[in-house]
Amino acid sequence: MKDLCLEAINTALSLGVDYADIGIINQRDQKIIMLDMSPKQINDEETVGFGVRILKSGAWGFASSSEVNRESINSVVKEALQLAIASSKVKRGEGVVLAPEPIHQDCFKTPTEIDPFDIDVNDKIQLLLEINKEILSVKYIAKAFSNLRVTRRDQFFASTEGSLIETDIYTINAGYTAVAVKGGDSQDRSFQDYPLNKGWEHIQSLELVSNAERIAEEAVMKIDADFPKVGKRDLVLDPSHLSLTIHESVGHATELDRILGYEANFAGRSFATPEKRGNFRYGSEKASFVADNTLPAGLATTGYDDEGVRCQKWDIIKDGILVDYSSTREVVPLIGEKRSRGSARADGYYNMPINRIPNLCLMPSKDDVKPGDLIAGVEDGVLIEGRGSYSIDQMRLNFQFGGDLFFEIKNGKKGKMLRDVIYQSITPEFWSSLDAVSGKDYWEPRGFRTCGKGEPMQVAQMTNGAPYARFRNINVIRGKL
Amino acid sequence: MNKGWLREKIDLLEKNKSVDEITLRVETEDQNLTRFAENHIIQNVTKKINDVYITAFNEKSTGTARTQDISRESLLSALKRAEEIAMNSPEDPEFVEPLDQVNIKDVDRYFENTKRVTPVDKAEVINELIKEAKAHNMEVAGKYLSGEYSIGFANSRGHMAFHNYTKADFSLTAMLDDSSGYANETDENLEKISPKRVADIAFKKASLGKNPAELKPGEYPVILEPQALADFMPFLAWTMDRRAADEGYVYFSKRLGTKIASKNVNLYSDPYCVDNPSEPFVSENGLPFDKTYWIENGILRNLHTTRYWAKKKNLKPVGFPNNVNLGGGKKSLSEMIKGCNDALLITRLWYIRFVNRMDLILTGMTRDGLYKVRDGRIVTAFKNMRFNDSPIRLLNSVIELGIPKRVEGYCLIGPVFAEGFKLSSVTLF
Repeated sequence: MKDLCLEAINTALSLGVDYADIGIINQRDQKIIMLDMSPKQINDEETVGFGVRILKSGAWGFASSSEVNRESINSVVKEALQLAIASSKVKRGEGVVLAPEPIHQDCFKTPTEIDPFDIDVNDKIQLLLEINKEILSVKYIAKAFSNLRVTRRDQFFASTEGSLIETDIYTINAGYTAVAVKGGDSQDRSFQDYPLNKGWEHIQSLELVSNAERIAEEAVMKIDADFPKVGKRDLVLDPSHLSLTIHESVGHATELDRILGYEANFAGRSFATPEKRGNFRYGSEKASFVADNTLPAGLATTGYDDEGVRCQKWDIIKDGILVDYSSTREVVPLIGEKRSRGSARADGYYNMPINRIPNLCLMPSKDDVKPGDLIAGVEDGVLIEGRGSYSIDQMRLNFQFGGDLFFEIKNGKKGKMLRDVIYQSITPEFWSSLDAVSGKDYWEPRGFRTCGKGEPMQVAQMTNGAPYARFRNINVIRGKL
Repeated sequence: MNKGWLREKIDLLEKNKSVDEITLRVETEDQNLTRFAENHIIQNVTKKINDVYITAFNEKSTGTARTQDISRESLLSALKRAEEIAMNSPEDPEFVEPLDQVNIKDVDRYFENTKRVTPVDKAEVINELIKEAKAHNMEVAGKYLSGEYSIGFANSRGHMAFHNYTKADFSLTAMLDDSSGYANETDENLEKISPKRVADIAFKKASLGKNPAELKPGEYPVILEPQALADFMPFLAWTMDRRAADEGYVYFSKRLGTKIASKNVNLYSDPYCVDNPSEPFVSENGLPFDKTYWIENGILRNLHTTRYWAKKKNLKPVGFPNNVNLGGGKKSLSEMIKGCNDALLITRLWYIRFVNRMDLILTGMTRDGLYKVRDGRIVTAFKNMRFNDSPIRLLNSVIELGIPKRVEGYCLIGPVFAEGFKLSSVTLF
């Protein structure tokens, strides 16, 4: 692979490009989906190919192929060059200027204890069957869905600047959902998908089977639960829920390409514009968000991003003030910064990397604050666990979230179960209402494998870790007309 | 890929298989996409992919392998991987045998001229539109895509289905400081799309959106433009599953044959629809699509039904829709606006998600143009609003349907004037 990478780079240089890089990717996925006791998908997927990105006269061209050989590489380099020349007819000023990055010649591999591909497929199937059997044994359960996915992405990257990097990334996740039907009504409850860059040991640690019956029983209990009281309420949000709120209202909002208008046609823009950097109060002093693509087992912990920038750790929001963004080599000079934050990711060898959310986490309290301490400070509120409905406007301001499980909080105590709780807010108002977070013992690195962005839609993965957190006076409505 | 290629590959796999049966699914794409934003081209990408899925059937077990390498060695390797899974997997209690041979009438969706547009041609078009945008003091973002695609299916029983098509897709968002406008045209035939027409619509919408006022949350009469309906209605179609309805966990449970929408509502899918053609079979299993009414004169007539559920319940399998058509009326959008005394005009919806599947409640945001229509004309613009409402409730309050227009290449849908739509909160722009 190294020779083929160098072939591409030498061909590009001989054609007089300003810059070029190549990513040769071999990705293997095992995907298993179980519906009740029926395997609906048992897939072993292998995709191999390469993409070449060329900068010529300040404009980009990108081409790719699944035929990984010298002839194909030379042809694709030439094609990418022609595309760059076409793009250069419509460029801004002098065109793209890449932020400098040191030359890296390195390898990075996800640390794993047990290679998940060494586990027999049938063992994986049996695990899901066992889960679904437990779920279906509960009265009023109509349906059990479970899934497991294992991925290995082996990538060789080379650039005309001299970087040559191999990354070998493992990702694994599993989760399930129980659907209850009773008296003409239905509710579901999930064991939230919990992806990490780890080996099979992660699946072993999740206690998937032992929680299945409880999850199913909670689905049934939700049907008989009361709707919430509508109005301003305090909320205590668990890490698996809050990870999604962080993802949508902070993660996407602080992607620099979006802020600069690159995604205005579809994925949208952001209110968190450059003049706000360093002075805009995004949230309360409790709201500190750190991007960390070196986080152990984080989904964006890949050693280097897809344009050869070393993974970093930096503040995005510090004590409530917006201080930085996620960025790529192309966009970061546009706000006067010298180095990319290493957030360029491509979905497969056939897509051009775009600015993606890093591992972006809400920091826990330095004190030993327990979830119960947060609940104790609420007179009238709701505890929300897990993810449900989610939606946010294209400037990342007005949002609405549901959840998976809800409990009333009365006079500092967790009370009865509720159903169909929805809350609405505006991003800076919401984060300004954050008044307490739990300590590090209750912080969880929850994350996403299928974050969508771009045209055509690309998916990417990242961790959005969170502690338990308490928010004051949030508008709560019912998920019912 | 063509039929001959597909036959050659299924024959190769047949000769080398060691399981009972196999299926072969191939999807190819060869496309170029030019993206622009901030008044310059930001991406110019070609994508050529052959995606191959081989499924092995061993007694009552199955396994699938995927590869993008179409060499003989790679296909045989994928076959072996699929067979290994099938031979080591437990019996599937919902096992369904591959489909027997059935004739499928193809749909002509292939236009040579669509392939001929080059990245240079696209750059020239985009350059002209950017000049025009600058003359309006606007910034623009958008995409110009063209390509050819094919789907093929073959199995051990001699069933084979193949379909190829071309696609051209141009969309543009025009932006001023406090407003934006969006338009899109997609068609198999490049000649049927007009980037200039798209840009003019987007420019006009952005101009109309200046100085937006703030609207109070509430229920309002609305005209939904075809784009907004195309954003909204697929969520209805996606939940129309017969098994989920029979098992009681979606809105459609126990509603087949009952009235669920206004009398003038006809929602259907038809791959042979002249104005909105689509793939004539299900790529996963080769099942042909027929014209299917989901809602006919307001009555729920059909739900999509998997081959397993059809066999178990003695029903006809009904494929998942590849296009969504809403039968229309006789008025254009502008005529509908002219005839309207008081309503909101919603042009596009964004980030739509389910809130409650049993009640089919969706939430999402208006985007790129929310206006007040009074006495037959657009009089002001509003800041964007969040909605929480049901497509069923909307279809039950239809006052008037307009002339259908093709949107996003899979919806044939007209503007709709409806009595009420619930807007629950406002955003800051």
